[in-house]
Order: sequence, then structure tokens, then C-alpha cells
Amino acid sequence: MSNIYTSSRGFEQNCDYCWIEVSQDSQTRVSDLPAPFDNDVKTLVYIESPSIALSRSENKLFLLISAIEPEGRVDFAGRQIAISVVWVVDNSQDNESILRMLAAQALNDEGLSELTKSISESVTLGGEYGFQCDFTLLNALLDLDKAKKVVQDNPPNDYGQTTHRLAKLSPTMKSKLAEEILQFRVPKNSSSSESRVLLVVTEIKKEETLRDALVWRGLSNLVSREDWWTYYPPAKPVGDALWLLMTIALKVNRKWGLGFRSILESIFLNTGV
Amino acid sequence: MVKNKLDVALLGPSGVGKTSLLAVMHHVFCVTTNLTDLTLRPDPEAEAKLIKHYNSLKLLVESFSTSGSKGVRGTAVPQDFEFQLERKRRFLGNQEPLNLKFIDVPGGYLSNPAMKDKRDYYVDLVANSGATIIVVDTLALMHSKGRFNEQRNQVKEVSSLVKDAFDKSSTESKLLIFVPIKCETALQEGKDPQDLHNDLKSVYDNLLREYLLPKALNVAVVVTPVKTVGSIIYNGYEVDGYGGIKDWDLRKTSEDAPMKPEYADEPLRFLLRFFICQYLCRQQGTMLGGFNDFLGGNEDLKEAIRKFAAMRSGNDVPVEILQGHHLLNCLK
Repeated sequence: MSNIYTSSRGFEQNCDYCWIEVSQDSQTRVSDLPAPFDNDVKTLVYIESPSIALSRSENKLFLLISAIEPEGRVDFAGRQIAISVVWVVDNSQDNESILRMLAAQALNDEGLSELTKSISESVTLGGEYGFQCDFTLLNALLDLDKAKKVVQDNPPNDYGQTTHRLAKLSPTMKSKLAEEILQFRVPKNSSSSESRVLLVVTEIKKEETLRDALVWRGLSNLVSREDWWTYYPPAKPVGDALWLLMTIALKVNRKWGLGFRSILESIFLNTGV
Repeated sequence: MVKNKLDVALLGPSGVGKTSLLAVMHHVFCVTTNLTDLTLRPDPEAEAKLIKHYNSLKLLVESFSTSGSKGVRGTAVPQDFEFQLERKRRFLGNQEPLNLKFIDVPGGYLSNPAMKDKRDYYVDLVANSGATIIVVDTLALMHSKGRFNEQRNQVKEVSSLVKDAFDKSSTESKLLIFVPIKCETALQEGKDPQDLHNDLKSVYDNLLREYLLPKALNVAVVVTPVKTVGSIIYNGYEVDGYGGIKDWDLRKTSEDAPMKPEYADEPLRFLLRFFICQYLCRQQGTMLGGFNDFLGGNEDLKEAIRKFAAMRSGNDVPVEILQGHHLLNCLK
């Protein structure tokens, strides 16, 4: 069972950007995306530029791909019209594979170009809100057969894969992230009632904001380090000090370092993978 | 209005140029505050977004004759742009920074009947903001005796929203700034800037005279045009099948003319004058604040008001304070 939401605008001046919920039978404007994901999008994603967000709640998985720009689609003032799409699906291993596949696809230029083509065919100008959506086409992007071919189900069992990591947004880091989510599963939530932001790729978002939300993998232009760096949830400078201690412990003795890490994670993260 | 904080709502229909105005204003924030002992420090996200928009605008102007696209992408969701006004001199104790926040909203929230909840949001936003900037498309305002004005500037909807919002917060002091943009043609050499002012006052006559003038004790109203790009002027227009404007035909003043905004510092000067006056009034209303003021602890702010209000040499900025002078200059 999937719920699909799209945001775009029409050609006319008054048909400004709005979210609509798309089903087989109807298209209805909604003020907000479903909780808790609406808050994730509002606080963690700069939706005006191409972004990706993957979250998991109690029993749902959520994927946002924003600011898809179909060539030649402009509004009354000659401005580029953008489309954002959200899929909310049941929390299952198959669905996780599908959303990982779509997220990885949006992370590379060729994949994004294919997605742009598919989404622009599914979301067209016209209708009550200035744009209209084809549920069948958008739902068809959730292709399990294709996901099984490209996505592997290795558990995230190495140090780097289980800890929270951020980096500056760059083609190299996008490529690294795509490779990682195609190979390894994303972390589970520690308790069934918790929601967790797994992945945020967005152009403009402060490092502190991503840290505060405990994002598992985050890429943004406002993160200072060029390559992955691991952070711990306590706010700076405590979190950074823990990261430094961890790095030193791992250099001195990997076994001690891993032991130290598991203690820290049991205290600060309380999450399983 | 919360103490030490001024929210500024940007108001205008979709595509009028709200985000572009803010990006161009932001580009000269430092130049404006450098006249004083104040520093306007942006939130990193606000700064990054506005620089990105400014650069897109600049690129658009540079490639104007070759690019098919005519505008920078519109705003999809409300965006906050926060700044801290820091004081370099500290006289007594730790002086908290003053927070200035601009809120940019998709213009479609203004008048789409299918989005009533969004209009309600917009009304609340303007009601809760100490200042509002109404962005006006000057080409639509003045061309062909305002034939396309209602279509592009939606004067009725804007006026109605201001009235609904101000009715909700009638006891608070407010600043309303009209910023006509795309005014490069109207303010060309040899043209009288007063024509623009007269046309604006004429189309907003109902709002200005019947609604706002009786509130002059609490509401300051200012008109300050801004040339957002400076080098693109009117060349003609294309009409759609219903007799409305389809598109403006614009041209650059010369093939290699760069983007050259003008008067972009004026809205900020008025915002800060209003903001500081409000702050000083509140300060003087408390014993500690009054004592601090007596000892000269607010001299930096008072000096800033004087400098923002002063005429510049060779100044031909066509600004006009329509009402509420006392809210913009509280120095005795």
C-alpha cells in the first residue's frame, strides 16, 4: 500500500506551488505531508533545490525527491516549474529496497535524468490545481523487480556504516552515498514508536540542524568537511570531543575502540541496526 | 511584536519579484550598516539562499539576450531569512542582539480561492509582523494607464489582505513599505519619479486614504522604488487571447550592460529606523532601560537613526514617507 504526494505549480499566476495527495481515483490538495515526515521536510530539506530525504516511522517508510525540473516547463512569468514527489510505503524490507534504489538513482546524474523524464510524464500541466498526476505511472516507479536486481541486502555491520555521518555535498560524496545505500541496508529504528531520519541530501542546511535531527547520512553545502565524518548526538563541543576520543581509541587499538564505540552508542544512540 | 525582534513579511502576487528584491537588498546590507556601529549578521542558511538567488539573477541578466528562461524559479514554500543586528559598542552590560527576520511566501497564497487556508496563513503572518513590504510591478502599474495592473499586482487582494491583517493587530505599531520594482524604465533619466508615486497612490487610494490614514498614529507608510537589475528596460508587450498581458518584451540598455541595482539599500534604512525607534521606546519605558539611555548607552542606535535618515550627497532617491514620520524618527 503506497501513498503518493506531489508538489508543483501550474502555468497561471494564481496556481502556485501546493502539495496534492494522489490516488487511483482522486487528487486532493493537502496543507501538510503526513506526520512525522512533514516536520522532517520543513526542518531538514531546502526544497527549492534538488534534495532527497529518506525517513522511517513506526510502520512507514518515506522518500522525498524534490525540485525535479522538466525541460521547457515554465510558468506565466517564464520561470522554471519544479516538481517534488513523496512516496509513503509500509515499512518492509522489500519497500526499503525500492526506496533505496530510487534514492540512489536520484543521486547520480544519469539516474536523475531518467527519473526527471518519468516524473515529468507522470505530472503534467492542467487540472484543478494547475498540475495533475498519473497515480499509475508514479506508483510504477516503485518497481520491486528492478530493485531486486540492483539493490543488495547486506546488513550495515562495519563501523562507518552504523554511525551517523555528514559531509559537504559534492558529486563524489553523492556517488559514495549511492554506492553505500545500494549495497547495505539502512538502520532500523531502536523502538517501534520512534521515527528516524535516515538520509538527507540537500543544498542548504546547517550542520547543526542535521546533527540535532540525528540524521544517519547527511550531505549539505553547509557541512564543512569534504569527506564523511562521524558525529555523536550530544551538541558541540561534547559530540566532537567524543568523536576525537573514538578516533584515537580506534588508532591505538581497534578492539578497544570498537568496545568504546559500542558503549557510547548504547548511551547516546540506543539504536540497533 | 516580540521584544528585540522585527518580523518583515513580503507581500505580493506570484511572480512580482519578492525573492529577487530580498536578494538584491541583502547584497547591499553590509554597505548600508557599515555607515553605522551596527553589524547585520546573517544566519548561514539565509545568506546561502540569498546569494544563490542573487547569482541566478545576475546570470539571467548577463545571458539575457540568449537565455530562453526569463525568471529565477519561484518560491515553493514559505522561507525565513534571519539576521542579527549586532552592536559594536557595548556601553552597559551585555546588550542582546536585535533579530530581524524576513518571511517570503509563495504569492499564490494571496488570491487562489482553492487555497483559503493559505490566505489565512498569509493574513496571520502580516498581522504578526511588525513590518510588511508590498512589492509592486511598476511596468504593470504604469503601462497603458494601468491596463494590466490588476492582473499582475492584484491590488484588490493585496489591499484586502492588509486590512484583514491590520484589523487583527490594530493596537501595534506597524511599518508598511511599498517597493515598486521593475522601475528601470519609469525612473530613466528625463522622467519625473513623481509620476510613479502618483500612479501608486492613485491605485492604492482606497487602502491609503480610507484605511491607513486614520491609523497614522500607529502605522507608518513609505514608498521607496528599487531598480533590482538596473540594466533591463521596457521594449513592448504581448497580449494573450483574453486581452490580458501575456508577456513583457524587455531589452538590455546595451548588449554588455551588467546587473546594476539601484536604491536597494533604502528599504533596509526604513526598516532599521522603525526597528530601532521601537526598541528605544520600549527601553525608555523601563527603569533600567531609561537609566541606560540617560547614560548614553543607546547612542550607537540613535546615531544609526540619524545616519539612515540623513540625505546623501548627490541623492536623487525617489523615496517618500506618506505617514507616520514619528515612528521612523523618535529622536527629540
